[in-house]
Amino acid sequence: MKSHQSHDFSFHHLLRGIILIGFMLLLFKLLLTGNITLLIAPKMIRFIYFTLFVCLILGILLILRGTSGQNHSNHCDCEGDHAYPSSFGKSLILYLVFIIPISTGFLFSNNVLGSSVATNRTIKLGASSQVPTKVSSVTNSTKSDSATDASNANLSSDTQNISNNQPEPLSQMDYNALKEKLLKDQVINITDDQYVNMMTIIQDNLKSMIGKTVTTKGFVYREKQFMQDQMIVARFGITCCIADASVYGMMAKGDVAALQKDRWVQVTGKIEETQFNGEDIPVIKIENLSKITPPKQPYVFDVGVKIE
Amino acid sequence: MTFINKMVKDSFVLLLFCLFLFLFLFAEEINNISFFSRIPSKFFNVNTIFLSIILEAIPFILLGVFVSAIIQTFVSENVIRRVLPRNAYFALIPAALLGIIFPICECAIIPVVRRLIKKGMPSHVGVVFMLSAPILNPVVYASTYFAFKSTPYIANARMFVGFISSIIIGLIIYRQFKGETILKTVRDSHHDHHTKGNRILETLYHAGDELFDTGKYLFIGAFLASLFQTFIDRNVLLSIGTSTALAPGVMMGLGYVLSICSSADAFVASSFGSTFTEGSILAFLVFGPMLDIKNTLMLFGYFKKKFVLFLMMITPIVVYFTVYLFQLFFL
Repeated sequence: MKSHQSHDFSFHHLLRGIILIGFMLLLFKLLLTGNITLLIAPKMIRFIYFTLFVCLILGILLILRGTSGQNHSNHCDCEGDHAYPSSFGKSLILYLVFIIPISTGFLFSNNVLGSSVATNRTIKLGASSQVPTKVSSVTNSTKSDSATDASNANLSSDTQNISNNQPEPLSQMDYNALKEKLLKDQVINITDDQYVNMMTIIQDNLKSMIGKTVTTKGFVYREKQFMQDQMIVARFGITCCIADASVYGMMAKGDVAALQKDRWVQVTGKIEETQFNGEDIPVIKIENLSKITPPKQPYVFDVGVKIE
Repeated sequence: MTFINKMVKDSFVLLLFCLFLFLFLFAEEINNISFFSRIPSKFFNVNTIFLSIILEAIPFILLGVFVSAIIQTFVSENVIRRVLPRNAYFALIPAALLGIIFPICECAIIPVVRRLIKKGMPSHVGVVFMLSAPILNPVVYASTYFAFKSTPYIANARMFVGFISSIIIGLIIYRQFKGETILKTVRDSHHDHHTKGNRILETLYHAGDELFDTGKYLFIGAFLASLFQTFIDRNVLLSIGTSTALAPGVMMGLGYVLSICSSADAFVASSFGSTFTEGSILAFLVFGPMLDIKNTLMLFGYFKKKFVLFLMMITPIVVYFTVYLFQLFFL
């Protein structure tokens, strides 16, 4: 076993305890402000409660252990495996690895992803059997980009009640019922809680959807090779956390050249069929377009279908 | 001298606590300072993705740490020896299927496997369990099935290829590291005669230490992954997606750097859709859970460097060829 000086141990325990308490406070704050749903899907939140609880317990324990003055080096029976940094420089780097993210977490957790991320991801506009073969290259990070992102950033102050509204996964029967309903209805309002399912149904059954009136919300996003009158009304769909966000959306056509990207809009219009990169995709011929304030929950959650 | 040293350290700790408390109370006010609007938005996106990876992974790492602590305390070496088949080759199959009963994701599995190996599970069996559990489990099957609803055989193929490649890797590890220890430090003499003190308290202390040991690798790994997430333009990849020979390799690389949890990566894979060959989608779905940036760093923390490098070399090769053969025969 390496020989450590005993006072070093208690310092490390104390510091680790404080870091855990700091992390716990961060989680607590995210839960209080509701910003947690800007980071992970609501179905994961119960795990956050678990983490918060464990961090609190462990944090208090470590602080007690660090201040108790007794310097048992053998508390844990595998002490030899746990490396405590030996020099001051190493400790500093080790603990900054935790302290910096916790601090930036407090400060910037209300950031919402926008077009600048969407351009780097692939987006599905048509049926799942045939996806666009588009090759757009470098990101265009213009000035308006950061400006709109920054304006997005401050929208979520009182998102209290939305934290537990992730719908349950549909059963296959409900999914079929939803599909029947969409095929029958002449007017379709794409709701947030079934966004991904409804999008999939519309894209997969494009032929029978033509001519129906559809209403959808989202942010303005454009592909590189779009015409002046084209845009995508886009949403980020989340499965577990923001790292797996993918872009969903529907192309809209009309007098949209003046709309800034990342602007939130509600679009109503008739579904038509168009070609994009050699593939048939639905497009909304805009009849009514209104600018809306960004919703408290900008992301939609992929609820999935249960398998029996 | 030691007194001053202690003073400095204590005040540092106190200062840190005040910082956290201050941020907890006044983060919004600080956030409004105009200085921050000059920071490029990419930074915020990196930060957001980074935080979300951390928040998603930490609960499962905690679970893994606790399961490992429970194994340490309650499962004896004898039990493991009795449960596993004697034959080194035959033991691989139950190990590869263990994930069906214990659906553990790739974050939680590493501390557990390390503990099992310490408790006497043969290294190659542990490795097979580690590689297959994040793929061959019901949660992952369900999400893959849903993400590829129009082509449901992808889910089955993922399970099959994951099973075969983890077994092959296990065999190679067995040949290469037979009788060798692959863990960083193993000290046998110490374990059994340790009875003093409160067991629960000990377990918690142990969990705290292990959380920080694993945590530093997780934080660094998640940061690297979030950089890749923000700056890689996935559309660039689409131009090479149609090549049968190249695409699986590229997609494996992508799965490695994106470090998405195995229960969610199917949705990301499905957004690439049919531009990529099914083989390359499979390679992404099988290789990503086995190795990615964040768990590589954790592996380096627990296992010997030589072993991790060997595993990193052998895994992509095996997955590539398994996928290749699978494509030849079934797709």
